[in-house]
Amino acid sequence: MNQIGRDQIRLQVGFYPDWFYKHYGISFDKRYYFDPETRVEARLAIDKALYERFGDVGLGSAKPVPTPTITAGMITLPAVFGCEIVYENEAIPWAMPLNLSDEAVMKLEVPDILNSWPMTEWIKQIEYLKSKYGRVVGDINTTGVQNLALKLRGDQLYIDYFENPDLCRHLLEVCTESVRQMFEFNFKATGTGSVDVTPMADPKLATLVNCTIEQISNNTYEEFLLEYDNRIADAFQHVGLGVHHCGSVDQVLPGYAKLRHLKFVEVGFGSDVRNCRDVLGPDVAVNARISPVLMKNGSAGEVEAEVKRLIRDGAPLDSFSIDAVGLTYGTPDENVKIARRTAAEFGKIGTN
Amino acid sequence: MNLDALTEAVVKGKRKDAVELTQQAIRDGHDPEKIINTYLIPGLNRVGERFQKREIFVPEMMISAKTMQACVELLKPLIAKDTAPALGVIVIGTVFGDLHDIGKNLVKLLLESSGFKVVDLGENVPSQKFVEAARLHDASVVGLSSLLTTGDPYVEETVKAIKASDVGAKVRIICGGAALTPKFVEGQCGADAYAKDAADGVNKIKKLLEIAV
Ligand code: B12
Repeated sequence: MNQIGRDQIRLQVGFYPDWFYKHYGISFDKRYYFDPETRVEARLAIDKALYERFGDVGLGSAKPVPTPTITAGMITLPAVFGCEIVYENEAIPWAMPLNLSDEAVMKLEVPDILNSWPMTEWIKQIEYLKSKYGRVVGDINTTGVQNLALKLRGDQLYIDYFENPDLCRHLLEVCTESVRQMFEFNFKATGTGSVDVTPMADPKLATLVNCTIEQISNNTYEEFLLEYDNRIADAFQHVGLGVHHCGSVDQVLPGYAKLRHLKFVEVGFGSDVRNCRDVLGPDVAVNARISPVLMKNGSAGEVEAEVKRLIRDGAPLDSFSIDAVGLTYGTPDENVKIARRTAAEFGKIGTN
Repeated sequence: MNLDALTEAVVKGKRKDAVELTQQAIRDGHDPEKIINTYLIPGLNRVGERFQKREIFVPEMMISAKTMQACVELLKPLIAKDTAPALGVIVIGTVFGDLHDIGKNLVKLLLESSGFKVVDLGENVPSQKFVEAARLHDASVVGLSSLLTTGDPYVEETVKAIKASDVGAKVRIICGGAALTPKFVEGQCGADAYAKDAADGVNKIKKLLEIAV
């Protein structure tokens, strides 16, 4: 992880697989996930490529060292439950929804996760990497309670919230316990619970993967999901809770404010960052995201203005960071550089 | 009977209430097309506005859509008439990346009840599939539905793919849906017509095919 310095806020960039594939031929197909050595090599190539292109703004590494990494993307629990997983050279892996019937949902139980594919595969890889390199970094993405429920039930879950609350509760119970077991595995195996979700959280936190909460109202969140997210929070209170949220957080902020042991929230673009900091207080670190669409289609001036706006809204800066992830092929290099430079120049900690 | 309650039931996503009100309206002899146009569609439009203002979210929008669909199912048999030989074949679908189908289904219903044969390609339809279907079914018209602004490039791509294909000279293209404007459809994409709603669509298709309206 490259930081320009310690006296300024972190601003990280993350490229979508198509960017690496189209520029450098680095593929994120099944082999990347299933062959640990392919992954070690890909990470070296990534570090080298980033250094050549963006070394002047602190990305990549001149002399990259092999990093034994475990990563799975957001597919492990869906696959354990039987979702088909689609791998592609230039996209993140994707789980196809099962669209289970009412009866099938009501019969669901927590599976024997550690003895199911692909967990068996990841466990083998972790052992291999530990024995060969003496360490392993990363963890297995835990999917998130509602994210997983949507993979199992499909969009029908949203109708169920109104018409079949009992079914929702049963499904969410099963999902929550599965997610809890994944966190438990991660903390035992590699000691982290955030790495496969976001590079911006303290890796030791248990970070909930709440990508789809943006689609629901605060009422629905508080009525159906808060209880389960808090169950995870309580189970891992010794490390603390993080939340990864996509899109605007504004409507569910009242719900998130009721999460226990909360230490970190990552909010998507469109969020009112100032309000988020005010509501959650200075002890909850916040990472704000820049839209990949702005990064691709906006001018350097617009990117600079957005970074400045976020810095202005994000104080206190010692617990604030920014990232621009999902940058796709066609994103101008200049926009990446200006984002990093603006953060270095205007994100000085202690001067705000 | 005051049917404003029906609009309200769509807005609130009260499926059971809406179905009962629709059944009552049918018994009371209300015109089925009027029920759709005056009470159901305005309800869903309000849902769209509230969604845009972030007063409601995806589940609320979905339950309203389901409510509307349930009512339309009841009205459908009353609208679709058995007509003799088809006035022509219309291939219809929602463009790639877009899963909205309520508007398209209403257009299909009205076209069928007006005497056309409709081949429905469903939602999320890639451009080539429109071309192939137009060829296979010897279509007179292809209808595209697009509700998302992110669908604009697919509308343009599909219109251009049809026009450039072997059936391009024969097939007329009409487009509709919340994301589209006549300027974009007829100007930039080069389609033959834009329709603001299902009735407008049927009229314009008849005009394109020189069928007396
Ligand atoms: C219901 C609805 C949904 C339902 C769809 C259910 C279904 N089975 O179709 C659900 C909840 C699934 C949904 C999902 C989404 N939706 Co939506 N949805 C709507 C809503 C409220 C109503 C659409 C509708 O059915 N209207 C009623 C019908 C009768 O009207 P119509 O479709 O316009 O069709 C009429 C005419 O346009 C015309 N017509 C239409 N097609 C055609 C074709 C031909 C050939 C002809 C002649 C005429 C014609 O005739 C029809 C009948 O009169 C609209 C808001 C709106 N006012 O349009 C948003 C709206 C379209 N959705 C929107 C969004 C953002 C989404 C999501 C991205 C939300 C999300 N974050 O997940 C997803 C996208 C999913 C996807 N990939 O497609 C936005 C689009 C914004 C934009 N700039 O693109 C809108 C405009 C809401 C808003 N104001 O923000 N949505």
